[in-house]
Amino acid sequence: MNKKIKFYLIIALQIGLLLAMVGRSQFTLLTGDKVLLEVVPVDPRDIFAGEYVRLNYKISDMGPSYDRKGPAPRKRCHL
Amino acid sequence: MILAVNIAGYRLRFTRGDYPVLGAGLMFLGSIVYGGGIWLIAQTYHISSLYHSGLLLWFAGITPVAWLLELNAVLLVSTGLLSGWSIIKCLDFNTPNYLYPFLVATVIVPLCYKNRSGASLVTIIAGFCVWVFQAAYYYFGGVPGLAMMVFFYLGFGIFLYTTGIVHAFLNRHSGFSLLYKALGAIIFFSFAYGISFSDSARSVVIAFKAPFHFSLLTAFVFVAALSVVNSVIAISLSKKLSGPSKKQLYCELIFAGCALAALSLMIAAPDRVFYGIYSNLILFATAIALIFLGYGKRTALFVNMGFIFFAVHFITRYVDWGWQYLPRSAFFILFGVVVLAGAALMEKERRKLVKAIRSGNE
Repeated sequence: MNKKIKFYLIIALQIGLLLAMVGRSQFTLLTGDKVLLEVVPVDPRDIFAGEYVRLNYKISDMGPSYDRKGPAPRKRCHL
Repeated sequence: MILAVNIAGYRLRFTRGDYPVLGAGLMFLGSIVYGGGIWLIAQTYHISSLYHSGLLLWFAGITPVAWLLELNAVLLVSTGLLSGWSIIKCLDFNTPNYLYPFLVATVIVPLCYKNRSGASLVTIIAGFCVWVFQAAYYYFGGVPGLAMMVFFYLGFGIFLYTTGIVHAFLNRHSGFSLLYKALGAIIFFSFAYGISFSDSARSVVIAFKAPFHFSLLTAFVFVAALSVVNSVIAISLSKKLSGPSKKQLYCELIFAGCALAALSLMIAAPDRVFYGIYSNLILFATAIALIFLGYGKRTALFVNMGFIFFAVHFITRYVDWGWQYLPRSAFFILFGVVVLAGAALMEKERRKLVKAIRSGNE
């Protein structure tokens, strides 16, 4: 196999790898179940950045009792 | 875009061959665009993979290009990516990355020799030094006994220097000789410099009391043994050399042997005051030996390095001791006088030596 063909094969492999990354994620998007999560604003004001909105998922916030105690022992938590 | 720049680059460098540098530049751009593509896709699809995996994927994609087309710029990026991957993975998982030395030994070092890429070799040696530190740190659980690693690095510096001596005999790779020697001298000087401070000398002495210091010293014994092997190879190859070159080689080997003996003495007698005095003597001897060898071998780089080492050592000790023992006003006034006069004198001598070397080479 000459150098040119080897080179194009390597480039094809690079592009194939990137396409695989896209394809895998796209496949999940097309075939996966759609889940809608409520978003909540976090830190809407900053002294330097001014007014802005940073969104977080509501379920990400475990509440003040979690912060104090951590997860309840022997109980599973699914997110 | 990846396809376009690579096809254009290949045509300009190989098929038509009229713009080889532009062609290499375009293929280098192709390697960068491929890496950019990985991060863009990961961002677009919120791929929740570990950050360092992207660097490994990038490395895996461009290293074959460096191998096939002997593009040293691509190899340099690939070497940096591999080292970056290892460092970040270690930090993420808090465990040594055992795959890294394997990839270095089987992929990068052979490629550096195949492409004769000095810059990549320097990068990978620097990466390896970081890996050794991280591996020891995580293996021993971040214990203070890591101060013992200073002996490994000092020994590693001597090993690199002796590797450089052997490379001078290899026709195809003799260009690496100076590089190995310079890198070895820099590593040796840097760690001897580090241990010359009172606090770091104390840490090393304390580390000797740790129960695991023998396992860390094994690393030193290993590199010291490799240095001896290199010296034996160099002596066996020296039969080809004529009188003055042979004398120079023996001078280099004697210096390397003295450095190894000096380190062994430090290990045998761990004491803070002894380390303080002794490491200063080693630093002074290293600077003088480099100037001597540089002049003898007609290598301006060594003379310059020797003068820089001497200046760094002198200024450090002046600041270190002068700050403690001199009144502040006298310290600053004397500092200015000493720096100005010393710099002028040293620069004059350095220029004289370098000029003598260059006229001798011509």
